[in-house]
Amino acid sequence: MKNRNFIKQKFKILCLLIFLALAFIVSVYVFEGSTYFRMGWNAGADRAKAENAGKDAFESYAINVIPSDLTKFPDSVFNQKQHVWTPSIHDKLFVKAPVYTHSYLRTLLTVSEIMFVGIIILIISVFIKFIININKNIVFDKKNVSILRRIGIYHLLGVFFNFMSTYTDFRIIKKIIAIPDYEIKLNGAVESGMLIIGLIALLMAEVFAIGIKLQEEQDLTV
Amino acid sequence: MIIVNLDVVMAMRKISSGELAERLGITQANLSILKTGKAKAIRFSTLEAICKELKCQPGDILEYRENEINI
Repeated sequence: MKNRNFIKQKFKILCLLIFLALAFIVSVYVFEGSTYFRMGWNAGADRAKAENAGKDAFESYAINVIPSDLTKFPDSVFNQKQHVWTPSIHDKLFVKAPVYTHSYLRTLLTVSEIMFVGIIILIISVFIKFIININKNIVFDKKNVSILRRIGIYHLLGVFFNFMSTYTDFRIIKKIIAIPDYEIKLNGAVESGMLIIGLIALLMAEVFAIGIKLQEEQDLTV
Repeated sequence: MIIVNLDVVMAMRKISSGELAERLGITQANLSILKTGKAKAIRFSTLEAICKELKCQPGDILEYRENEINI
């Protein structure tokens, strides 16, 4: 009984740490999201103004680049400490370019991003259900196997939708931006952390399923 | 599959489930699991106690039958 309480206490501490990590990630997403929302809002307002004035509308694109020739430094920046121009390589850039209005890619990007956010909300809600079950001493139960399988599948779907949005964004950028001496690269398309967590959750679900079978056998041993 | 003939032996010995469960030191629910063939396993200690109480051999209680699907 003492051992069981100790295990439960350890479990509660782990849950608390996971919740803190989730809260941190969510707050970062909310902060970044609000910044991008503000940028998007301003860009939309600028675009409307430009369209009304009969001018071309522009928006900001975040792009990842790599030099075509890695031995050369195609750019330079001013080093204020030594007051000299020094060779440099850009890795990430924010570029203002005309608004890309191709409806198919735009729709795909928006749908993928909305689905990704939805998946994150689903993962959090299912995880909360899992913790509630454990706190109610429902551990080796078919409900938890189903919850863990859902967590795993949602993570894999999250990886898919993240890939879709990143790849669509990359395709849009490739259509409207080209920088001399640089190649635009597809970066962070596969959320490796999410992929590993998803696979581990699926593995855990199978471990729980085996646990339930063992418990069933134990219960039916006379 | 393995068939448990405990109910047959109990009927022959004219002993009730409650009495046997008490003598074996197991619950009536567990004895019922054994009698109805729902048990996945039986401990040697339980089998030994049953044989001792019912004065029989393990073969009188357990029987192997071919071509029967275990549900």
